[in-house]
Amino acid sequence: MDKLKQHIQNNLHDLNIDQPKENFWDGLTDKIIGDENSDPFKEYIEQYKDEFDLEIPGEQGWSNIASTLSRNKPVIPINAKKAGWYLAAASLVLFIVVGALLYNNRSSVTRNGDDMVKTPSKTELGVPKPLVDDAMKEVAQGSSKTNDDKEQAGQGSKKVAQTDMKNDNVVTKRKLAVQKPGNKKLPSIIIETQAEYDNLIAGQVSLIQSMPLYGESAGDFAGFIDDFKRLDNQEKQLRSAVLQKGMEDNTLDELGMIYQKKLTVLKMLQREIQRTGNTTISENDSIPVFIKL
Amino acid sequence: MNTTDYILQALVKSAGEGQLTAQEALYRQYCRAMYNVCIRMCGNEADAHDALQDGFITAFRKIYQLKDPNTFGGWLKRIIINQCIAQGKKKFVYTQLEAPVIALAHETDESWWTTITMVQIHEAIKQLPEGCRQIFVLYAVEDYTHQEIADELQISTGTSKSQYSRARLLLQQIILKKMVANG
Repeated sequence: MDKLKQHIQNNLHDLNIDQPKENFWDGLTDKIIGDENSDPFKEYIEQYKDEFDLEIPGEQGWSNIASTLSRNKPVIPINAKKAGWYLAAASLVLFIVVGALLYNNRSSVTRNGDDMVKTPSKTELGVPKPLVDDAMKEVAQGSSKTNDDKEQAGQGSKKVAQTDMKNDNVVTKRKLAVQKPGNKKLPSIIIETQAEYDNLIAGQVSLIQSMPLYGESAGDFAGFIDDFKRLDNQEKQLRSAVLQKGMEDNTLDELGMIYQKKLTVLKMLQREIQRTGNTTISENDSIPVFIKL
Repeated sequence: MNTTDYILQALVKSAGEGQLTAQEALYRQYCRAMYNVCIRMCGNEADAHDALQDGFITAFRKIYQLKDPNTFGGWLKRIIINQCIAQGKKKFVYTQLEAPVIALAHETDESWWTTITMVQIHEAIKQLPEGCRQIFVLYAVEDYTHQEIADELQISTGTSKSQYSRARLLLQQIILKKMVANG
């Protein structure tokens, strides 16, 4: 044997220096299994894919999803570009609303005999179309939708609508109707006062519900909402007392006070939303959350 | 854009704002298709319901990230599939099969599936073993490539291919066994 050949044969193992590239096996399997693009079985499945959706999920599915979603509202980051526009729009609306309220919100006091009546003048609020929530609609409009006073509320609203909305004249005082205890109808002055304040409060509620929330959830403003509901309960108790026992000297003052406090709570909530929005702008792109009172 | 697209855009926008009625409408529209994806991936009703629920909750929480509302269906399906894969990872590990199993797949009759219904294929898929079932569904039904499957499941493409071949073989065996049993 050739000495070179003998040497090579004796050291064959050391001759295997090179290795095939990595993932060579993966390429090899294509040749064993067949080209990935020519899989007639896969093509058959894709052709009749729509016939595969045979199962129907249980009815409990959506209930579980809805309860989980309503438990944990997401905190959504904001878009810096859009935030500026939203803030500018919100500031403009706030400026207009506050200006209109300050200009028109004057009380007029007149006297007729022993009666003193204070009622606010009407004002026309240019508020955006509200995101209506049934629960808040009921709260804002009070519980005037009871069977007993629905008709009177309608009559009261009709009287209110007939007055001049654009003037800053106040509603003139009316002689208080003496209500005997046990009479189930609210006095017309109560109904008219309620109707006027309802317009103001509904306008404020609509404004707040249209303001975008950035980086916060509705639960962060729960304190304001609780205050508002507490005042609403006070209003209902007062009306109930009037139905039971009739009007007292300070009933209208108390009612006016409750309505003023409601408006104050709503304005404070509005300011807090704006203040929070100013401090939580981030660069992430997102859709804002809207509060539902 | 047709009416359906407008409606979908409006629903997705409203769902992004947290409106439950819009979210429910989207759920009702997509739940059947997504549930079938889940049941093919998971193999049983309980896991499928869990994956469906978690998938929809994740989707509605992140829907604000969706740029094009018209792609909601495909986007939702990816979330659902990822949910199924995450569930599967807790239960089993993928293994690369040996070459003889791969070679065996080519010895069978390639047109056997044309003689059976999709119902039979659907039922047989549910009976496949955990690991190869998911890979089979992703490849043959959801049209993933082996590379995409490898990236999602954090396996090699070789494992994906070998498991798919195994699934095809087992599928045929399951169906034939049932046909023999039913006469």
